[in-house]
Amino acid sequence: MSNIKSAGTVNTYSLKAFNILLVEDYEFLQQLITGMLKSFGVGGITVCSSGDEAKGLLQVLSASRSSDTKMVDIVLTDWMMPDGDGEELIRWMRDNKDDKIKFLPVILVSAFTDKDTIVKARDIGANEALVKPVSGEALATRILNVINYPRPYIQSPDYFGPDRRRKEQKFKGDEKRKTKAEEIKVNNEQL
Amino acid sequence: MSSSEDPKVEVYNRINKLKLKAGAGLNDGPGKLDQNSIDRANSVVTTMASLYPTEIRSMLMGLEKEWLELKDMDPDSEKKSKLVEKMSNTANQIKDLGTTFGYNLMGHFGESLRDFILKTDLEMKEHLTIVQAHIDVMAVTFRENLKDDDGGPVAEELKQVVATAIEKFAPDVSQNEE
Repeated sequence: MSNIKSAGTVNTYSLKAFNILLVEDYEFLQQLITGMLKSFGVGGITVCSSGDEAKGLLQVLSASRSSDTKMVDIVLTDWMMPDGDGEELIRWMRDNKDDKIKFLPVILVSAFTDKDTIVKARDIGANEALVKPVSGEALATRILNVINYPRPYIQSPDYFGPDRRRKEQKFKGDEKRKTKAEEIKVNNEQL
Repeated sequence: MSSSEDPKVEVYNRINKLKLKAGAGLNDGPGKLDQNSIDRANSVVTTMASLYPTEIRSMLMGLEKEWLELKDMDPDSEKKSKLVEKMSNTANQIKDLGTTFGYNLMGHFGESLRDFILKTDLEMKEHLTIVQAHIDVMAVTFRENLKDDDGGPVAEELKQVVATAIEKFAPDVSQNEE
């Protein structure tokens, strides 16, 4: 199963079996990102020009029983597009009843560099954000993050999507919480 | 597979099928992509960047055409809002194109126009002046091949032209942006 396997070595992934959906309205950038994905060896690349088109395609692929059609593995989407933008698409995916759509990893590819947009994308359930200018390394890193470090998905009353905490940080300050025994002692002294 | 930490919060830990699909085992450490494939992707960026001048010229021409059409349009035309939206989208694509290839000054003006045009009152001559100022400075940015938005006296001057025009003629719009 593994490409390269021996203790201490790092696997070099093959993306040949991957099907990536690119949602981008601007043809020039479609060509750019498609070209980059092909360079990575991605086997299946599907392009949609709008969020609405992507929704339709995802529904069809998810419902298909044919072995010829492959469900998408990762979605790369632009943020601002006419006819259904990236925000709308991600919200639709995360609210979807179909698990095959609901849990799909989403990488936002955006020219919006402001922090608010990035925070908003995270808060509606995007897994990764790639801010332009794009480079081979930057795009590879986002794809690798999705494969190497998949975060659990969280369903709370007001959020569904990947855990927004990337990793649990251990508190590095002094321990000020009291142990159970100390607490009992303090309580007894106060009585 | 789900576990419940709290009645209101559910945590789904799913099998990492992507890792299996990429050819690794579930217990393997983090993998990587072949460096040659990353280098090839960077070559794609370089090749596409060489097409930037042709592409941006065509975008700017398209923007100017849309603007002329919008100015000539009957004030009550139903197509007006569609065209405004189209112009905003073209400006956004100019921003995308500029920032993708490191032409940040062009990206800056594209972004500014993208937002401003949606708030523009086309009946106000002052607002028309501001849109025109955006189009003019973009033309100069392209002609002079200016890249950075954070350096150079010409770049600063052009940014100042637009900022002053907005401040002078549409302070309400300027305040909304902040």
